Amino acid sequence: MSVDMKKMDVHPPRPEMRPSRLSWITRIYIPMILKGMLISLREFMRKPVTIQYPEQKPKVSERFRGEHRLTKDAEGHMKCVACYMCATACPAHCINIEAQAAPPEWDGRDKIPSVFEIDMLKCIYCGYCVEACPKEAIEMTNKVPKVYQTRQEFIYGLNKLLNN
Amino acid sequence: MKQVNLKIDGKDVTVPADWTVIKACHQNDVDVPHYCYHPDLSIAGNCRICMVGVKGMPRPVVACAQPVAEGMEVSTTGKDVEEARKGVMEFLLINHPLDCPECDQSGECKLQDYSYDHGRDHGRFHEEKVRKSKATMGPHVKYWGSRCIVCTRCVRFTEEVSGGGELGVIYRGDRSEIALFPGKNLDNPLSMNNVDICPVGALVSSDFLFQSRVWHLHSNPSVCADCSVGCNSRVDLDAKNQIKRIVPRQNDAVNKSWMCDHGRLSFDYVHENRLQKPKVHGKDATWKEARRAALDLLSAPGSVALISAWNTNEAMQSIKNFLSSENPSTRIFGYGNTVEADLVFPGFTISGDKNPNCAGMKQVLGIGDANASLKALAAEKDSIGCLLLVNNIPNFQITAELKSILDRSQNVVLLDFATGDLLRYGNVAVALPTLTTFEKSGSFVNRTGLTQTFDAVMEPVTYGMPETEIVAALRGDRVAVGNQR
Amino acid sequence: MISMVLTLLRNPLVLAVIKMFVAIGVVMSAVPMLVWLERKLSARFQRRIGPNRVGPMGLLQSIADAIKLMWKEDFFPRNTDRLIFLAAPIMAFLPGIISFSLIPVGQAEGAEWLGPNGVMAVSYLEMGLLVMMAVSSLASYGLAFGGWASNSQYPLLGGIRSSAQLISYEIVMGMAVIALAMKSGTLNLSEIATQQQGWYLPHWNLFLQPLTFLLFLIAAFAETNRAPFDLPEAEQELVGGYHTEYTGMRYAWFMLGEYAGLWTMCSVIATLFLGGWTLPAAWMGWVGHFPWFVAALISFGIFIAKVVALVFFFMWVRWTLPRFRWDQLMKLGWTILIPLALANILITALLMEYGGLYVR
Repeated sequence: MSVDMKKMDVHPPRPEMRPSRLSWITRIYIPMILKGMLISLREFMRKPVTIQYPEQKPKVSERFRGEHRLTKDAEGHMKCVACYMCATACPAHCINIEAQAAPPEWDGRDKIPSVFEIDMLKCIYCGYCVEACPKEAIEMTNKVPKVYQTRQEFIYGLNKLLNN
Repeated sequence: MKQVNLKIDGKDVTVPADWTVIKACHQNDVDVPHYCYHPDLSIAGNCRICMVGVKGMPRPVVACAQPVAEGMEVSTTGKDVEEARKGVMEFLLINHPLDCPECDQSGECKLQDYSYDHGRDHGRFHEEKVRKSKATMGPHVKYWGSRCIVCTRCVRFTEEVSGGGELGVIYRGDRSEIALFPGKNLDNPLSMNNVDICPVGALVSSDFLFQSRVWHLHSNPSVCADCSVGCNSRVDLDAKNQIKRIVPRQNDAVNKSWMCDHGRLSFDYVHENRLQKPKVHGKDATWKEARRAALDLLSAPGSVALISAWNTNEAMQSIKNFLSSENPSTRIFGYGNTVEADLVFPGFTISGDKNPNCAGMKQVLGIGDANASLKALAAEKDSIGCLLLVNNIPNFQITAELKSILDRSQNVVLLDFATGDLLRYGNVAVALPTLTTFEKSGSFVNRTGLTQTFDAVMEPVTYGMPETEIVAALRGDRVAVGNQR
Repeated sequence: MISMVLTLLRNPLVLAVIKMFVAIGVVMSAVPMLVWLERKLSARFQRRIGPNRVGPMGLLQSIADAIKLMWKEDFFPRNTDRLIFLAAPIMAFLPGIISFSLIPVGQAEGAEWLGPNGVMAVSYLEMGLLVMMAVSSLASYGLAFGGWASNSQYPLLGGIRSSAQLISYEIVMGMAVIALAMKSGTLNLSEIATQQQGWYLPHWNLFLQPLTFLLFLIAAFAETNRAPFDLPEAEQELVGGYHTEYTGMRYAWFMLGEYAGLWTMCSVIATLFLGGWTLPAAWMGWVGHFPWFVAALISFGIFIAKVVALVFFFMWVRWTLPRFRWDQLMKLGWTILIPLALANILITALLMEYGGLYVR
């Protein structure tokens, strides 16, 4: 089959190269510019929505996913059994757990975490750890994540999470 | 052996006449759930999960206890079979504590797998569950009674393979559990196999206890280097490149499904006391400096190479080739760990030859008895120009013979992965870091003459290199500095 | 004592020096305020608050920024042309101050020693408009040099854009000014300003020459490199354009230059189109009752108010309109504005000849 090179060169015009279908009033810019400037002036007149963060705290929803907390049972022992489910579910790999044998006097408990660290810098606050937990041992408070000066301070350890 | 023809799920198969139905199914890639059945143990038939339908039989039969027969038609699916398995699963879980979050077995637990495949989605048992004892069975094995389903794999293992018969079943009915016979302790060198064969989390390793969840480990196949049996092993590592445990891989020609405790537990030397960088006269050096220094020394007249039986065939061959071109007058001797008597169990033998590659040494270097070779060298009195010592034996202790050889060597070039006795002994001029068997590939010849290759299972933890690469680099240096001979 | 000072002030040399310092002082103090204003206004246009930590209402923010910039590492990128690299920021800044010195900022009637008719300008030139045009377009050299000397692709593109943009829009601006000069019949900036005073209603050129005003305004946006014509420093495409490689105080000079240019351009527009320091004579009769220096301050205040209103307008536009694409900019300049400017000259000429609208 012969190919007609002339025909091949003819492409339909690309969308942005087609003649504009805008009306003339749009195409002389000026009225539209005035319209846009009125819009920005209206916004200028309105009250700013900024929150002065460290002094003012934002109001968050009841279901806000903030910093984590490790829960305790009726006897005051942590509920966590170091099953690593949260660490496994975590998409950001921000949970680091090391397990140890539970004290013998804790009835019906074999394993507790010796290290339970959440790197708040890596955490994306998705709540998967809470969903994954089989013991309801981790939950999210509605505390807005805090700001610190060093990276080390962002790694929350067992004590901090239990008392959060 | 006579062969019989049968149908499994409509597929025609031919198997030896003395096989059971479950074996025929597994060999033909048809999965049949099982707890008490183990290919290397006797048949017990007490877990009842391996129900299959056989045409002509009024109800499902247990596949592990049913011999194959000519013309048999087996179905591993179907309403009857599923109902039967579902019922068995429900009974097995009646007294199970469901403490998966705390259980080390979870992730590789047959109860979890089969419950997911065949069980109910909820329990109907509202009464109080039976709580059973927790016990320490031996130095490496702990027992959680409540999780036990009394499949008696462990009991049969201690009777048939390790032969001590330490374990038995006590009590009856839903209170039955595994216990040690009075005055006995599960401390035989094969005790940790009980952990492997336990299909649930009842017997767990106290060395691996709470160390990691199994789904966070990644596994690589390897060959155990701790004796001349050469057990096929699987090395499990965590995300930080740390070996967490070693378990056997089934190989009927070598180790069946077993492995000794020593082989499972000796991996600490991979992470401790490693020679991180090359050393020249005790000081850290770059690889290039160290290799040039070694090259200078190795061309001394009257040199001797002393190669341990822990080296791979490839390492031995490449060193031999290199020396024959570099300094053909170099004589090669061998050495190794001392050889003791074999430990023989009814179903397994642990070799007394604690070197992985004595047979390989004979094939590659022509040294039949490594330690006799060392004695022959020790008996000489001449001064040695340069001693090339290729050690790679973990936790090596200098023997008197080796001491005398080191004493009359003017220089020692050491290839080793550890900062052990040899490096401390003093007159090591150049030390080049090598890698452990876990970090390099190669092959060993086991005592039956079987050559087994293995690959690196982990990233090297030091700047060491395999001997073959060191030799290749030395050859490159020889070309670079010119032939000085 | 006071008479002594006044005598000294009548010395032209002393006066010139004082005027110079006043002009530089006005621009240099205006620039940090403009930066602050820009940040505050942009914040409000986006319903934010803007700087509010340093000083009352964040007024000292610019000072804090300047201190920070001064303490930054003095850094030369590799393979720069040192001399041009150093000269570029100053070249970008100077034209702003120089052109501001041509602009009459007020009138102190009776103080003839200040200038003809008491007009307050650093240099009172008969051809001030022409000189202003010449000097203000020099700013583009700073940008082009900065882009060239950085020896880096983004600054180079920025510098080239700046030159091309300046050349294109300088023509439009010049032609717009021709029409204005034809109408006014003079190039003297203070005369142009006083012409627009009017009696009851202002005779501002904004109303008399709307097309000229529009052309001049658009060209002014392009001259000052402000949105929607801020292509030389387009952050999204050129990572800052001509000042990508600049840090610390040298970068600050570019910023100062930009805002000095804005201030001067607004002053020019106020003078040419909004009547400069004047208000209609009927409104301002009471000013004559005050001494000359009070009148001077009032007229200066009127001028500053007009300039600040224009600055607000410039910023309003910046935070409203998106940036033009490069080809759109060129197309607008060459195919629309230049023909329009030519037509504007023609219309002005026709109106002068036949319309009788602009009677001098």
